[in-house]
Amino acid sequence: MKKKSPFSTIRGRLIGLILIASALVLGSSILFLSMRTKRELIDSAFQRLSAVAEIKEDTINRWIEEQRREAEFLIQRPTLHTLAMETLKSGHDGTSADELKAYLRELLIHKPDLESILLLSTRGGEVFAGTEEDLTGEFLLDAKYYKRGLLGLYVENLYPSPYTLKPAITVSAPLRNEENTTFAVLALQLELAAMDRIINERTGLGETGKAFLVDQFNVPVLGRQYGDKSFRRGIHSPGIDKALKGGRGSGNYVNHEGVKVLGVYRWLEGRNMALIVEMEEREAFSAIRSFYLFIIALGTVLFLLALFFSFQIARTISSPILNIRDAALEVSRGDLNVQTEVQSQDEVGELSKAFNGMVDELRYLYDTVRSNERYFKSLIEGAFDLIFVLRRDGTISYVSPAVQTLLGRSPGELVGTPMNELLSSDTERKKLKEAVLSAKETPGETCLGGNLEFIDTHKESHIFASSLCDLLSDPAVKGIVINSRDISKEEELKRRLAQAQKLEAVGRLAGRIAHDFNNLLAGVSGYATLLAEDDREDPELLETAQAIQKIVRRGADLTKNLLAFTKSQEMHPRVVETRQLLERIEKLTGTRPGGGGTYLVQIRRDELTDEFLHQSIYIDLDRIETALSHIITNALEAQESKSEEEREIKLSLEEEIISTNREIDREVILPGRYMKLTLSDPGEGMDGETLIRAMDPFFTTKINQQRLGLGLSIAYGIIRQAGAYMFLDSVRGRGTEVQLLFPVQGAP
Amino acid sequence: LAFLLFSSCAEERDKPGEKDVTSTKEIILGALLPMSGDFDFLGKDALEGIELARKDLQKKGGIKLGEDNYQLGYKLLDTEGDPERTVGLVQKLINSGRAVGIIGPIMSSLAIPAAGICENAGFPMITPSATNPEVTRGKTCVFRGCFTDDYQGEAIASFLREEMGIKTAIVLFDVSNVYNRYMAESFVREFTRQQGEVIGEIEYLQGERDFTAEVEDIINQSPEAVFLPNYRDDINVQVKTLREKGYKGILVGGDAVGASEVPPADQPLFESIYYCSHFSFDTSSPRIAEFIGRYREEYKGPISALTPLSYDAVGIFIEAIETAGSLDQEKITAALAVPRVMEGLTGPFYFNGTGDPKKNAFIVKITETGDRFFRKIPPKDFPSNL
Repeated sequence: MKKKSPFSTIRGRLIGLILIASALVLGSSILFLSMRTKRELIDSAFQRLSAVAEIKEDTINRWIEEQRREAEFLIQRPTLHTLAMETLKSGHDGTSADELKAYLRELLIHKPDLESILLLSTRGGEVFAGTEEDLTGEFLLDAKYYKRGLLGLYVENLYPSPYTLKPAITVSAPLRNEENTTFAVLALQLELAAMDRIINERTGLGETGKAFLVDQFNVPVLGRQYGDKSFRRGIHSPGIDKALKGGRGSGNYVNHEGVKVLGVYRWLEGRNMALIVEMEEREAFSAIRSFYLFIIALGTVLFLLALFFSFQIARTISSPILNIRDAALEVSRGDLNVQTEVQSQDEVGELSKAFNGMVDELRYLYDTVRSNERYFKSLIEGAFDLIFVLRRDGTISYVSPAVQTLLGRSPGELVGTPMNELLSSDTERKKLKEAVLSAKETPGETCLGGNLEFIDTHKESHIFASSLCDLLSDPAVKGIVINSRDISKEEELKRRLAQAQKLEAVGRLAGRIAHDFNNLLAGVSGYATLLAEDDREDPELLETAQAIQKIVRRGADLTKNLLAFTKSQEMHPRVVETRQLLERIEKLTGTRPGGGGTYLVQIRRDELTDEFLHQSIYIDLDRIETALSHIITNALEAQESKSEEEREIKLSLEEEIISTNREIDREVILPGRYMKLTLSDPGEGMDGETLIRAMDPFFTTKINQQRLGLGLSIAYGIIRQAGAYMFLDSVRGRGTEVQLLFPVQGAP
Repeated sequence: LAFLLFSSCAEERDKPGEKDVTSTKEIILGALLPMSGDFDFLGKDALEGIELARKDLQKKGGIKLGEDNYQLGYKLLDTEGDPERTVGLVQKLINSGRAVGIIGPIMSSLAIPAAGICENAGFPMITPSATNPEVTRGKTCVFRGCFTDDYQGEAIASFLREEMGIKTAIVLFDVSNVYNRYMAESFVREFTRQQGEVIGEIEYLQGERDFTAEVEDIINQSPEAVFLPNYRDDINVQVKTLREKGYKGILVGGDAVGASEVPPADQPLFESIYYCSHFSFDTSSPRIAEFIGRYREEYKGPISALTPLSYDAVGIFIEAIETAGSLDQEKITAALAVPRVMEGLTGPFYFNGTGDPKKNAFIVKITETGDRFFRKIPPKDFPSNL
């Protein structure tokens, strides 16, 4: 089995979706928060750096201003004036020149913010005195501080010095004589290292903060960095470059030392230099690390909460749906009594209601269909008719259960077999084929198919009136429906009716003949008696008369029998007890009606109860005796092949209670109490054909023995006339059994 | 103010200037020349030399370095003759990282600070014409394509003493300019050493336009020759004043004279003035004659020695790049320092491992028809085969 993905279930998907959504919300909030925090940290760092830059800029301005004031102060010094004028007069080598140089050196010692002090003559800017030996005697007529210094106090802001090859700031001021004529220029080269120290005071710069100045050519103002191999091409960073383009701003970038920094940069317009204040990003962001830890912890907690709630929500949403799913599964398995609980009034609740309604409807429909089915099935299955549905190929796809009763075949075994097998002969099969073909001509319409002869398991044939209907194109049936009704009994009844009518006609004729013949016999008998009385002495005549009388008696017996058969003899029934019938039967013991031979009548009287012996029967005992004598005669005749001693008839008498209609030999016996008398002989028996006709009048198997063949039919006539039943059962070679059922009249 | 200068300079850089000649794959040299100010004519002469060299290289198909073929381009930076500005420009050029080296500056007063900056930055620099020894002293990255003032002073002294038999001389020079001052010192030292007598050293300051006082002083002392180690504009006035005041002696200038555009009216006054030149103007040499002819064709006016000097300076740089086989500045510097002999328009260069090649000096006479080769003065320790 394929492993199910957790997302293949509604609950899994819901949890997944909620988790994704919450992760997104959480993630974006955290991202937003951390970005905001980072931004704020950066902003605050920049604010701090800007504030520092502001202070530094101010410091630089103040420092330079101080130096300017220093120059202003120095040019007022009378000593400087005197010494300078004397030196100019006496030339470089005079004593005043030495004094002046010493004076300037002395000044320099006390001014740590100055790098050098120069005095330039108005003649070509010649350095006529100064603390720098190398420059003494040089003509600096191109130098701006000289040119401007001639005119007044001047600060030459940061410029590249052609002499020191380093950035320099020079403050110059004119020395004027009494006539206010400039005779020399004082130039103070500022000690930029001092400035650098000032701006590098660590105030507000944190641990990694740095402030530095860069000239317009990317050269760091403080020489200590310049000339270093790594910075011989100047120092470069985005901050520096932007500042050198006159920019003022801040940013995070990689500085000239390759360190990631937050920097504030500004071009100091008046000072001709850029001020850069930087601090390492690492330091600025150190606070954010703990914030991240907090955020991660918070995020984890929130995520776990989201996980928990997503399970809860998923359960809340999915459980009613899953309930419906379970119910639907139950329904699909056939249980229509399922109902889901309506847990809410929302869409899912509506779904539950709709589902319940649907199941109710389904159940109602199903019940209706089932009861309809039962109804129609009972119609079909309760019917005695055979209903077949044939497939196109002639095999049976359905047969009604009546086939069991009618033909002794189970419907199950017949499904799939050709219907032809059930027919008795090829003639019948041909008839069926024709009927099917003609039914196909009118699909959907029922047409008569005539009578078909089927055979049952006992090879007995039954006639069925059949109708056919072609429903091959009906998707619900897809077959030819054949409806066959058993009409065998009707046929039999028809036959019997004919028989009865035949018997009745014969009987009536025979009765009239017998009556007339009896009258004739009476005449013959009278004359024979007269003859015998008249010719009593004539033995010959007497013998003749007696023979006539004997023959007449036999003729009278014959007519009596004939009259009995034709009901012309009146029946005089009365209520008798079983005992009395038994006595009459016993009377017959040992004697043969009509004389001749002996036979055994075995009836075990001691097995019969008194109660039984006193049962009432409504019969004509005399007529019954006649019937019994006919039956016994017949039984004895069946044993003719045996010696007289061997011939026997078994008799038994017992009570039989029939609770429902019982059909024996196509006669229906009504329910009730009966006395059953059974006579059986071990004679030659009868075959089926003979048995059927045994009780027909004038039917005999002993035609050459001049038998009338009326014995059993007379017995049958008497018995039926007495309201009793008579049945024959015989197997050829085994003997015959005659059953007589006398209805018992009420309780004693 | 400096900032304003800087920004105008930056603008120059950003706009593709007419004089900037660049091609797709190119070697950029910074050309630091005085294109404006008092010495703009020097800048013009030098630029013509650089431009001719560039064109010749282009004709040759450029420089092949590995797989790539390079053309020569240059970035013209106007020094305005201002040392502060020059220092700034050099710094800017170096720090911009765009150029491989520097041609220039042509004046010693600017070349000295520029050389200092280049040396600090390890940036190769060749000055075509800055003759002051200070330019290359103690430097490893700075070279020149000319002789030094020490040699020039010696050459002029020996020319006056030996060729012309002059015994007395006066030096009139701009004391405020390091070139003029050093030339004067060098001449005085050499002339004295060669038993000549310098009877006067008259100083003046840059920007002086009236030399009447100085000339009267000279005429009073009546020297046989007057040495004028000054730039041309000054010399023009000085010669005119001297001649007009009736001075008949020999007038000699330094290498800064070159290509006088003498006003036609003053032309006669300039006959028989000599100066010491890096370029021979010796039209008997086919190569020189051809170059002068080509120059005339291209630029019309008279040729100055600064043009072939600049041409040679570019040639030296190109040769060094080819030798180095790379644009790596350390390698180029090393190639420049290789002792070797190189033939140029301004004569054979004898590089001996320093920044100063040994070269011939030429005494050129200014005539009506232009500057004429007069004498070649080879250095005493010059290899005899050159």
